[in-house]
Amino acid sequence: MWVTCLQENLSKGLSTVGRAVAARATLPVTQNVLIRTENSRLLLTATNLEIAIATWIGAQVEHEGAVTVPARMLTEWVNSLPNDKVEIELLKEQRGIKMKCKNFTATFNGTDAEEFPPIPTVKGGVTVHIPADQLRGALQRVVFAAATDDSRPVLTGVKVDLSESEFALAAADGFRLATEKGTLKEPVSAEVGVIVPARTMAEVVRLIGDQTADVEFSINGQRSQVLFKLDNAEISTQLVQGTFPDYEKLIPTSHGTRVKLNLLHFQQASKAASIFARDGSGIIRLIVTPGDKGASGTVKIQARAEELGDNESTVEAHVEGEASKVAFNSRFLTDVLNAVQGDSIMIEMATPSSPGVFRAPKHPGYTHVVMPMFVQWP
Amino acid sequence: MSIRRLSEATASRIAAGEVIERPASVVKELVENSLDAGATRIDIEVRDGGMRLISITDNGTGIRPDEIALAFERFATSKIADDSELTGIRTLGFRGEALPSVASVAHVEAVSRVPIRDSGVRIVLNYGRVVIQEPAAAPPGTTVRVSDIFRNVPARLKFLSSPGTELARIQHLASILALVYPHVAFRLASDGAVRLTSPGGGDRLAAIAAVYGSKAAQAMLAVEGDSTAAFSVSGLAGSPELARGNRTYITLSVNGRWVQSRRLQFAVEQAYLGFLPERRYPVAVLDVRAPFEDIDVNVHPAKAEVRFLREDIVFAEIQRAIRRTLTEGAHVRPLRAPSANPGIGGKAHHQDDGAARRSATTNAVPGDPATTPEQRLFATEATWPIRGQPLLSPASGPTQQTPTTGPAVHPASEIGHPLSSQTGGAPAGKPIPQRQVLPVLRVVGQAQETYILCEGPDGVYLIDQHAAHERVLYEDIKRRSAARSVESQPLLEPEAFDLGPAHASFIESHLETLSTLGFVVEPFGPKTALVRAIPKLLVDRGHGGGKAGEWLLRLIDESAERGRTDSWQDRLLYTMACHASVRAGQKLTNDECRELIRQLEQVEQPHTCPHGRPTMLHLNSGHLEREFGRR
Repeated sequence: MWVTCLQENLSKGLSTVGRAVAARATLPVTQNVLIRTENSRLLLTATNLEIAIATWIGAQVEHEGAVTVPARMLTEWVNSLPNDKVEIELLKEQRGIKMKCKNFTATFNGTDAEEFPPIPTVKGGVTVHIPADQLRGALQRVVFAAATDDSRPVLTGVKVDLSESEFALAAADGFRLATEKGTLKEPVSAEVGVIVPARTMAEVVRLIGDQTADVEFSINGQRSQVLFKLDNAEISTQLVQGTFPDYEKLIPTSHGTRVKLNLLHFQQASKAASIFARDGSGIIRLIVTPGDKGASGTVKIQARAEELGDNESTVEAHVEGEASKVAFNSRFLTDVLNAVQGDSIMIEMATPSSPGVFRAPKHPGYTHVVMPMFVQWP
Repeated sequence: MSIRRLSEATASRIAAGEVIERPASVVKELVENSLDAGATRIDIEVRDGGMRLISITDNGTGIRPDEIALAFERFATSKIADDSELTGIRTLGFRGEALPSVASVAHVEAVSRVPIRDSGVRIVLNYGRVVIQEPAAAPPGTTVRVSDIFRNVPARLKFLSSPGTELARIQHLASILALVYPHVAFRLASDGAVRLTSPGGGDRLAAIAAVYGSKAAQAMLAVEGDSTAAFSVSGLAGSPELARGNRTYITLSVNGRWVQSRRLQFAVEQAYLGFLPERRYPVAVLDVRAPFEDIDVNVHPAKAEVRFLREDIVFAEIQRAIRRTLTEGAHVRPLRAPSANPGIGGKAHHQDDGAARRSATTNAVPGDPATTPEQRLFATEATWPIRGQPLLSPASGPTQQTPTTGPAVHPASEIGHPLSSQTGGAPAGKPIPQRQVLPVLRVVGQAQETYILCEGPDGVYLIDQHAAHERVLYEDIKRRSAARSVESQPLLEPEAFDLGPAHASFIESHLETLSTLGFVVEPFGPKTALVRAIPKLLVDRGHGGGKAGEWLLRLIDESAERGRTDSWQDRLLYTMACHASVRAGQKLTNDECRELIRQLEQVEQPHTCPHGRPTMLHLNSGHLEREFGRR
C-alpha cells in the first residue's frame, strides 16, 4: 500500500485542480495530474503550462512517492465511487497506480513524476495579503469586462496595481472599463503593477469560494509569475506581458448629470428592454428627466426592434443636474447591472457621446465606464 | 547608312506582320472574309497546325473573275468606299489588308465562283506575285488555300510554336467563331481528322453543345436583352456551377463581331461576383448590341479590340443582364453522382474541362440517345430544348422555362412566372427581378459541427453553417449600410494606426463611406489615423476592435491591386461578415440551426456565400431513389 484517503476528499481535490488540466495538449503529460506525497498529505497538481493549480488532501501515507496519471479518466472514475476509503498502490517503477475502493478496483497507467513540467516557484518579489471576500467581490465585478478576443492581448488580462496599502483591479475590452480599489492588510514593500490573465482570475474567484482567511498574493522578482495562496489550494500563473492602457485617464472627471436609481427597478426595466433590443439593434436608450422643484426625476428606458415593436419603462430616479440622454449596448448595460449589489446604482453622464460612469454605493471603490452608442435621437 | 525608301515587297511584308502573326491569324482573316461574303458553311482544313496548309472553303457570294487580282492588292476592298464609312462599319473586314497580307507571306491559291455565273476563276500567287490567273470550274463560293506560310519571313517562322500549339490556337479560334456566328456551320479538320463541327442554323445553344459539350449547354442560362434599347446584351451565360479555371470561356461579340476586350470580360466577371468562388470564371457567350456609330473597331490591326463611345452604359447593361439572369435562374447545385465524384464535400462541381473539349471534338449532339447514363443523371428532368428556337425566340408560350439543373428546387420560379418571355412584345413588359426563394426546409440536425442537414420538398439539403451565416450577415450589413443604419460602437480609447502615403489619401477621401459601414475613422496627423468606433456587429461577436486598423490597411492595399473585380467596400463587408459569423466546428443547438435556416430563407441570394462558395448542396429525391436502387 502507498496511500489511503477518503473518496470525498480525493474527488474534491481532483475537481479543484481539474481546470488547470490541459484540454488539447502539445505536451501529453499536461493532461495528467501529478500525485505526490508531502508531509503525510497528498499533493495534487495540474498545469496547462500557463496556469498551475495545486491542492492538498488529507491521507494516510505509508511511504513517499510520486506519479502522474491521466486526469480526466481518474477524476471521472473517482466521482463514480461510493464515499468510502480509497486505497492507492504505486505500480512498479512508478509507472501508474492501482486503486481500490470497496469492491471497485482500477489500474491507471501513467508516467514517472519526473516527466511532469516543474511548477515555477514565485519568490524574491512582493507578497501581500487581501481579505478573501474583498478580493472575490472585486474580481466578480471586474473580470467580466476583460476582452475575450486576443486582438490586443493585454486586454485579456486583469491589471493588478499595488501601492502602499491599496490594491486596484482593472479590466477593459476596448468599449468598457471596470475597476475597483480596495485595501491591503499591510502596506506593500514596493509599488508594482502586473497583468494577470482573466481566465486565472476566474479560477481564483471559483476557488476562494467561502474562504474567510486572507488570500496571499505574491509576485516573483522578474515580474513574470504570480501565486495566489488560498486555504487549500495554490494557483500560479504566467503574467500577460505588455502595457495596460492608463485607465485612470479614461474615467471622466466631470459630469453634467448624476442619476441615482433603485437597482432592482433598473434591472427589471433593462431586462424588459433587452428583449426588444435583442431582436433589434441591441441598443437600450436612457432618457433622464430631472424632477420639478425638488421632486424626484425619472429615467425612461427604451428599446426598439425594427418592424417588430418597441418598449419603454419609466423608473423613478434622483436626478442631479440637467436632463440628459444616452444609449448603451444592451449587453454592456445588463452586465454592469448584474455585477453590482445593494439597493441603488448611480450613473454619471455628460453628453450623449461621452462615456457613462456607473458607481454603486455598496461598493465604494468600484467604477464602471461604458462607451455609449452613436445613435440618432429624435 | 543613308535613308532609303523600302521596296514595295518589304513594305507589304512589314505591314502583313501586323495582321498575320501566325497561322491562326490567317484563319481569322480568311474566315472573316467568308463571313462578310454571307457564307453559311465554312470548312477549315489545316495541315501541320497550318504551317504546311490552311484551306478555307465557303459557300459565300464569291469574287468576280475581273476583280480577283485586285482583291490581292493592298487597300482594295468591296466593303467601304471612302473614310466616311469608317465610322459605321458593319462588315468584319474593311481595310482591304487581309488578302494582300496573307499573300505577301505565303503561297496562295484561290478559286472562286459567283453563283450566278457558270464558271469561276483560279488565281495563284507566290509570295505576293501573281503567277497564274485562269478560268476554272468551281462550286459557288470561294476556296483559299494558303501553304508554306512565312517561308519568306524566316524571322517569323522561327517564332512559331510547335504544330500542336498552332493547331490548338486555330481550334480555339474556330470554337469562338462557331460560338459567335451560330448561323454558320463550321467544320475544322486537321491532317484529315475532324476536330470541330457546329450545326449552324443560328441556334447558339447548339453551337455551345458542339463546342463545350452537351452538359455545358444544359447549364447555360439565356440572357435576353431588351431588343428595343440602344444598348442590349443577349446570349447565354453559364450557371455558376459551370465555373472554369480561366477566362477563355468568356466569348464576347459586339454587333456580331468577335472582340477580345479585357474591359468587357471584366464586366462579365464582375456580374458573377458572389456567384463564383475566387479564381473561378464563368462560361458565357454574349453579344453586345450597340449603335454602330458608337463603336470604333479600327483600333487594333487584327481588329481584336473595340472602343465604345459610352463604355459605362455598355458595362452597366452587361452587368444588369447577367445578374438578372443569374438571380432568376440561380439554383442549388445538385450533388454529383458518387461515380463522378466520390464524397459529398469537397469541390463537388469541378467540371472536367478536358472532357468538355473531348466531347466537343467528337461532336456530341445534345439530347442524343447515345449520351452516357452518367450524363443523363444530371440532365434536367424535363430535357430542355436544344434544337430549334424555343430558348432564344421571343415567345414560345406563357411559361418559358429557365434552364436549371434542379428544376424542382424553385417551385416559385416555375409556376406560371412569365420570366422573360415577353421581350418580343412592347418595351414595357420588363420582368421584375425575382427574389429566389428557398423551399421550406426542416432542420434534421447538425453534422460534423459544420453542416446543417435539412429536409425539403425535394430531397435532402446540406448547408454549410459558416457560409450560410456569412451570407445572412453580409446581406444584413449591406442593407443596413445602404440605409445608413450600421450601428457603431465607439471605442473606449481610439486606436491609432500608421498610414503609408497611399493609405492617407484613401482614408481621407472615404471617411464618409467608412462611417456608413460602421467604422468611424479620423485622420490624426499626416501618417496616422484613429479608429474611433467599429461596427457593433463585430463587438457583439466578441471582437475587441484591436485589429480594425490593420483590416483597413489590408483592404486599402488590396484595392490597389489590379485585377480585382470587387470593390473595397464589398470586401470590407465580406470581411466583417466572415469574422462575425459562426465557424465551422461550432456546435449549434437545434434552435440555432432553425433560426439560421429561417434567416437564410429571407436573403436575396441564399445559394452562395459572399465569396461565391456554395452554401448548400442538394441531394434530390430522384437521385436518392436511384442511388438506393428504388427506381
